Amino acid sequence: MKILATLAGMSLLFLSSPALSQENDASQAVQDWLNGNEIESVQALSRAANTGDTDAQLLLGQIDRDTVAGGFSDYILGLSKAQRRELLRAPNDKGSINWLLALTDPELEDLGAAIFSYKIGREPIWNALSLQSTGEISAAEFVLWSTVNIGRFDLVNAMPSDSYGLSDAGFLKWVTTYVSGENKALTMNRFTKDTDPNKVMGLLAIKRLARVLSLNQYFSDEVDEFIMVIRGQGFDLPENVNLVSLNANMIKIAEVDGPLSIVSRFCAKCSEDKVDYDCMVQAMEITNGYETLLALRTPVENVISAEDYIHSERPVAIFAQLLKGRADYYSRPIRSSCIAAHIGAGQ
Amino acid sequence: MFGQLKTIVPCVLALGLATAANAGTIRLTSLDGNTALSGEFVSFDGEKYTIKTIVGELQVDAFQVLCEGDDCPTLEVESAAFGISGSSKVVGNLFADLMFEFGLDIGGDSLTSIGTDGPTMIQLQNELGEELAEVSLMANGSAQGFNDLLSGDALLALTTRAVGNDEKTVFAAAGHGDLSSEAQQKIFALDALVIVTARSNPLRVVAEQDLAKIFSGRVTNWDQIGGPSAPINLYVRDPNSGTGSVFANLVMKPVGASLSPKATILGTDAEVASAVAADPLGIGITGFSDSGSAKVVDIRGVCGIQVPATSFTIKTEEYPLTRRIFAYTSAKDVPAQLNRFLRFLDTDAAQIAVANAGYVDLGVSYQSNDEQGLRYLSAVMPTDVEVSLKQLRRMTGDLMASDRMSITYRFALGSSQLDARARDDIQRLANVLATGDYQNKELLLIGFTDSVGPGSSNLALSEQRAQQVQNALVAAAPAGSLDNLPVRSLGYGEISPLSCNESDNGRRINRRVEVWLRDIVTVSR
Repeated sequence: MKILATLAGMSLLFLSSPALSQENDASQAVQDWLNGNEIESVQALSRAANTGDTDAQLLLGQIDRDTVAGGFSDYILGLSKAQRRELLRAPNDKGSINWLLALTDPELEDLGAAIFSYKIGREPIWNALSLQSTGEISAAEFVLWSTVNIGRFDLVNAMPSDSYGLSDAGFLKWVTTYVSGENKALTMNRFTKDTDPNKVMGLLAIKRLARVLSLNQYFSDEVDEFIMVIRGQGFDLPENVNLVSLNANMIKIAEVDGPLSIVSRFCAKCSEDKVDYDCMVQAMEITNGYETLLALRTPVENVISAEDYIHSERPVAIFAQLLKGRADYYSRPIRSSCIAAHIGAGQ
Repeated sequence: MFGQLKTIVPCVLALGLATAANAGTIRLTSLDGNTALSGEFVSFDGEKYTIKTIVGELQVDAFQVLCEGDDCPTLEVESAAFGISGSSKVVGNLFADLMFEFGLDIGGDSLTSIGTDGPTMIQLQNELGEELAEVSLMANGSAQGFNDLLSGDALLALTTRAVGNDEKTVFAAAGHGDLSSEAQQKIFALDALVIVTARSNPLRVVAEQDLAKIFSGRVTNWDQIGGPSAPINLYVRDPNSGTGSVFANLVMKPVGASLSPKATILGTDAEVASAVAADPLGIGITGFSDSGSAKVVDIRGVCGIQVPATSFTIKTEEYPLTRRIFAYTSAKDVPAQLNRFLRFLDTDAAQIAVANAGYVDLGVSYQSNDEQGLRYLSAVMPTDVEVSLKQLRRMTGDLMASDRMSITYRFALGSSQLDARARDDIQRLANVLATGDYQNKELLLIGFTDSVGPGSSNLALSEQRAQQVQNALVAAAPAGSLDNLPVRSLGYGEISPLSCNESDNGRRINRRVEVWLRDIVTVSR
């Protein structure tokens, strides 16, 4: 069987065109980028982009545009302006331009423009709709979620009825199920058993509205503590908080919640002899909470699916860099031995 | 008095409550401007907007938002000024604190002005600084509280005793409804009458049957109750006050005794405590919350059971002179802000204020089986209780590794119906369990009876009452909220009295269903 597969692979190699070979190179570069070989992968992506590979162009364009989601790293940040222009951007008559605005395939023009221009402002819904219509679902949902979390549920509710199904965003469906249910109580027992991958986004959205909806009474103390941590406010936890159980619950939730799994995997790298109960809590504090994790989504869903990205090493690596960078501005003592070792390394 | 109040407080009241649904869109913005919702207007019940949104129907607290849109219900500005009258300490101290906490809870404020010759006034403001209500606090005693509610001078009466049957009749005849109904009577705190002496007095415990003799003047010297030879000086409240009335009902009337004419009558519970604390030969009756620097003396029942006055024994109402603090409203007029305030009384913030004011709150406390020594002493002390070692062993096995919750259900006299506090406590327990994160626990509802009748019948009766509480609890709990917590009902009959069965009050205390949280111990393989 192995021999047959090898022969098949060889015959494909002989039959493949130069374009297919380039495509394979670009795919390999994307995989390398996801799995941590950043310097060589970005250079390979740059070569592929310059030879017309649109996947590489989209990815480089987003790395250039969006520092956090796309390419927050010492390597990218350490590039000089000229190197950056050379490596990440498309050449044009004025010097360089972001690849998202210079995609080789004219059919992808709308997609490039949508990714390049989205932002969360006073009228974010059109940006979300624009992203969603070009297949950038996770980015569109992030815009919606952020809109609810700045208190503007009215804008989300006022989405046009022909909103291409955006009202089916995962976290909105979770909120819908919660609102229609008879049991409003939100306990950790119930929450950890919930297998919906959008439950943390949904929980934060409903908590944002809890006061005007008179729902605060239904949140258990443990869930309120979890929300505090997830918002990056672990420093406000009560003195008698059960960190062991909080940490165990966060790890369990991270098994179904992609963004939280980034923190869980980062902290898991440290826990060899003993469990560091403060690692996830303090990592969330330093990096300003769940919204930052949501920014670590796939740069371009059309190139790397949300699922593949979140489970790759790339977001963990970006998170680690982010943590180190933001620790410089964190004034409280470091309680987590894992974070202390991480920050100390390389200093 | 109330009629003279200047009506300066604007309050939003809705016209056309429970407005029929239509499809117009409204926008609801929180008063602080930080949250905005929109949706199709469905209805308005005077306190909540219901809107249809992309996540389903949402109910929005109308007091916290401003409504914009053609379909917003028509509003008019009316004055909301009302009086609260009743027990001097409850109104004067506790309610001033509760109003302050309420102001914080709604994101607003409460401004207190103490009148020199009039009632204390509290202006309640929302978070925009707009006045929602002006409340006058009239601290004139429980009896006057009922009078003010009847006359309309107050819309809320706060009393340290339950409404009497005669008073109920008068209220019903005047169109004020049934004051003892669930809708109009609310228990929001507990207190207890305590026997106090000066700290220098060596007496630590007084026999229950001697209380009436002491305060009626039949026992006049300390040497008759184990002290030195010296006259006893009595300090009490007016028999018409809440304290005086509860003492008369629980201690004096059952034995046909009346208060000694030599007793010094004082105006407040705090004055009684101060007077006794300063008199080494004094003994008095005051409130637990007002005992101050006086020494609280334990009461020993006729069967030998001796229950100290603690927050836990008062919460469970096992201390024999426990009293409930009541809030009564009329069926005629309850302004929206008053309704909102009454709901606030059930919150943690309100109950913390209750405890901070020296009263016993209704929040759930826990006591481990290790701290239940009284239970086992009481099982063997009385001679009228049918109890075997086997039964005690079984109960001990069930209660091992368990914590007792302070919620205890009691039944109306001669009835299988839960009493007024028990009805509220069913919902309170359902809420506590629904929002509790229990791991490896089970809930035990354990019924007990008094010693009247054969032990075997009492065993069956106790099981039946525990099952009744379980049924009520399951009905009150939201669907799925008890999935993680097995609930079992058990009955032990009469084997564990916590008060003497010789008196009506003692039997009432013993007819109960206790609530226990038990660890499920898993043995490793």
